[in-house]
Amino acid sequence: MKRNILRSFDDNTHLFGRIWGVVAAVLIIAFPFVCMAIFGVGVDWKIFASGLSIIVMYCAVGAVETFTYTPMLGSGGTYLGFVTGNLSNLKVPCALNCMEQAGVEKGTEEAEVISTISIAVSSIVTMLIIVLGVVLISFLTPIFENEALAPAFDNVLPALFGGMAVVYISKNWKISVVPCVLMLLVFIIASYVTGSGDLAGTLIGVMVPVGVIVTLLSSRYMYKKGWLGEQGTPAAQPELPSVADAVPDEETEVAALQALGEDAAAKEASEGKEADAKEAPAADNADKADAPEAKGEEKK
Amino acid sequence: MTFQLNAAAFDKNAPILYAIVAIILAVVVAQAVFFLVRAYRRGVKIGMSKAVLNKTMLRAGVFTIAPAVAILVGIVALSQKLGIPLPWLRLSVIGSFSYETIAANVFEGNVTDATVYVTVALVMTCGMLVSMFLPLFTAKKIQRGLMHIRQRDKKWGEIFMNALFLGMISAFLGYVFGGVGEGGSGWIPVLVFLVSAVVMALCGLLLKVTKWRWINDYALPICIVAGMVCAVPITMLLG
Repeated sequence: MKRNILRSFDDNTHLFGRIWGVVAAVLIIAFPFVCMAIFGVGVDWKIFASGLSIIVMYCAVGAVETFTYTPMLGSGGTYLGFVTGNLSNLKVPCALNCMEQAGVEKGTEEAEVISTISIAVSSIVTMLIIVLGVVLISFLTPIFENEALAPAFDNVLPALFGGMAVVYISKNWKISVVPCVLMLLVFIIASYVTGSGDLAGTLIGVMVPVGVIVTLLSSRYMYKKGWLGEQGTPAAQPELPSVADAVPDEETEVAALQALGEDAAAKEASEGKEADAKEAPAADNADKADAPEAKGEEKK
Repeated sequence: MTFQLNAAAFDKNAPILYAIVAIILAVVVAQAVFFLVRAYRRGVKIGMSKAVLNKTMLRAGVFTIAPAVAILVGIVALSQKLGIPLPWLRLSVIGSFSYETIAANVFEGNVTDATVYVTVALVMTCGMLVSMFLPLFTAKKIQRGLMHIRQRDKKWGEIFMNALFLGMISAFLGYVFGGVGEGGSGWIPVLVFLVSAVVMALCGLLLKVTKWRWINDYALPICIVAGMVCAVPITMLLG
């Protein structure tokens, strides 16, 4: 009964994520308005109106990205990633790489932990590099603006996705064929029709979700046909909820019990943290049909 | 003490702008640290080894270096038009270099006027409104939906997750070929992609032969750097 009223770790992730998200969004949105106050100026609505189509387009892209990247990043990673940005060119590949290296199964709580850690570290490191760059900008500008080096910085995405493609396509070649062929055809045809690569930059925002949908549909078809191995292995135990919900957040557990006026129980919970921490993994591991984290590492 | 400045003496690199951006970004870093600590503790609590969690942090840090330097290049590129503080903010939070560049171009030429500056900043900010707020309402439902899929059919749940990532990778594979219609220069990203792919294959081979596990940890950062370095001579040949 008591346990039912407690918030799980997962619930708290959503609660904290929303609080931090709102705070960050308010601050980010405040920047132009604070500048208006500081300089005592208003908006040039003519210029703003000329940017409206861009705003609408990127709001649509933002909506599509939300539904595309949220399942990949997990809860904590989503709240953090959608504040710190640079999703497709940094955060998503980074989280994906770290999950792969750690040998965790995507969608599990271990994957959630690894994804959140990788996005957090990536955000902090990016901030540090940028701060360093801003401090040293007068020294770095001639280097970065050097025409000979420009191609290196213009080709980060192909360099990033080349390595990733080998790993993922080789591991999942059956479900890769349809989306890869389709995407190649779309982009190559668009390029020859327009005679330039300009359209690719606009298309990619739309084609990521299209690629995801096509892959899901073709995978489902192959799965139903039995081409991806034996069908239907229902999990004997509910996975994520049992892991996420069975072990409530310690601090909230104590707080919730205290809120109920059950000081003795709260004290007990507080003192029992260590024992709880020892018991929890054992209980969780029993629930997990697949390898725990350490096992995943050993595979390599 | 007043922070109000004269619009006539507008400076897009005014120290006050640096201070405002630093405050906003400090909050963003605090959020990252909060989630990092929380996830780390959770990982330990559910039985994940500290060595794995520490290694993940190291891997993420190393992986980030090259793309982060590319983001820095974007800030430098936008700084001539907008000064440093605004691009610093915009490329450190939700947004992308391509969007910020397009949004900045709603005004032709370098920004020297406070009204234009705040308008450009507003356009840059408004385009990301959905990205900032929508996940706050949808993340929980999406995650619960995924959980439901995994509970109903574990094997399909695994395929579903792999399909999501492969959908994204396939789109970027197509994107790399998106300039081939231009001729020579359009093939530069394709060759960079192939260099990176070949380096990854070599890393895999080396790992198999030597059993050096560190290769596994740093294979992708090595591929990124190799691809970026090779982009220079490739561009000289085809550009």
